[in-house]
Amino acid sequence: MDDETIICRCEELTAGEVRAAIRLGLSTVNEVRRYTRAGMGLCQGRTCGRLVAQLLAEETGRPLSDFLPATSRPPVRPVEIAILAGADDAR
Amino acid sequence: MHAERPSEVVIIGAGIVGCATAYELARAGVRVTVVEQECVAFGGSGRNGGGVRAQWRFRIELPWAMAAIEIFQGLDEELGIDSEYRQTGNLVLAADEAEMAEHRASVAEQRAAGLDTCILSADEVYRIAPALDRRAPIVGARYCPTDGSCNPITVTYGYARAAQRLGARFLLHTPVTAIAVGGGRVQGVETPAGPIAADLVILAAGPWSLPLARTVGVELPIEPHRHHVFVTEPVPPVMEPFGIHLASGAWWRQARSGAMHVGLGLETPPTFSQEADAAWLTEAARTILTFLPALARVKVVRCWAGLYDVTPDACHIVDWAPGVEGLLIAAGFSGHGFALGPITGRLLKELLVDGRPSLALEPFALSRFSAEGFGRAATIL
Repeated sequence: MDDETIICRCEELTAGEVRAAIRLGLSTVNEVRRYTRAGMGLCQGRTCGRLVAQLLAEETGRPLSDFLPATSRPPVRPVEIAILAGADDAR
Repeated sequence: MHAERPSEVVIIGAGIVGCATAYELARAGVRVTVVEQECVAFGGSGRNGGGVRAQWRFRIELPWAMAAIEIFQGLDEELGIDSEYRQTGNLVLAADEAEMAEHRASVAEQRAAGLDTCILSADEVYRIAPALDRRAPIVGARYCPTDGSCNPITVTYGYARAAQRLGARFLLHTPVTAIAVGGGRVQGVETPAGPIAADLVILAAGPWSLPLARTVGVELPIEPHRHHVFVTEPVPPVMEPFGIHLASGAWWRQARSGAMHVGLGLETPPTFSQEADAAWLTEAARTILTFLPALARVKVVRCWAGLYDVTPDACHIVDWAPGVEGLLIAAGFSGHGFALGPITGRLLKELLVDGRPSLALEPFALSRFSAEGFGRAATIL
């Protein structure tokens, strides 16, 4: 991956931006998410989660298996507020 | 409170209080190490609503909140960050006339203290925030135009990065297992990576301060209470001010991205778990639709939970630990800690380096909880 590659489409982050954050001392996928917002957008890291882990492995020289996915947050997929409220019969 | 200028300080906890204190001390030339069990802003500092508010504060907190807002105004420049801080105004919506009467009295007192805050009629509320449902339980509000919000993670990391640039050391993913004491004086902290020596230790670990203080026989009157937030996809402008509705426990704000952040405080038993409970989402979704029905088709992207470290009077503790010389407690912020973090760091630096804090620390003494007849005596403004 070169530095211009978009890692997180939702938040429009490049590999270079994520690498720069990791070089500041971030060492988990969760920290990268908090600091750069990679994985905080609509897809909740479905695309970028693995790529962030790869970059962490590359930058730190540790095995990929060291990097757990970010904590998954409910809901599993974006859901309309009316549906969550149970106030929606139409859909 | 008095202290000799410390030569080696350990701060336990890389939340807003720990990071702001590390920054202020490092800037004053003090050697500082921050020891954190997880990462920067892992606890409440990274999980709160980002509100920066002076109105609707306990009387003893008001000077701290007003001084904090002065710091927030220059913080982006000071730390070299883009914190999204904006003074959007803050609306505390009242559900009935009894609540309005309380707000009138406290607005008068806060105005006398120099805060620009006022009472709004229901009509004035709907003029400022037309998105609010006319059928919602709102009879009026108090409004403070200089209150606002920001991105709390950016601010906390901003302090941490600035502290690091000034020479502060951060040991992350390093739990403190005990506070080391010898001859009644603090010696440092114990960690799995070995001991770290210090002549002054600041305990700023939020709710986790409770078990750490116990390692030196100090009992803190702190209970961990879990609170949730949900965030939506970005939407066009909904309402400008930060909204709080006390009777329902709901609050909301729109971030710069357009995402709505919504919180709803529910009475639950104390817990150290920060796990988000999906059932909470149903309650929160129902509640927000009673205020902002236009959000019905807006999608929730994520919810999370964090802990308030709640004291019996819901005000923080900034005090020396009894019986352990050199151990300073800065905890129990009871859900008010993010906005007060920057001023807490400033005051602790003034205490430790200048010998005289610019705002009184005495109201926040630990001993107030052991006084006879102690109750919820503090007055909310």
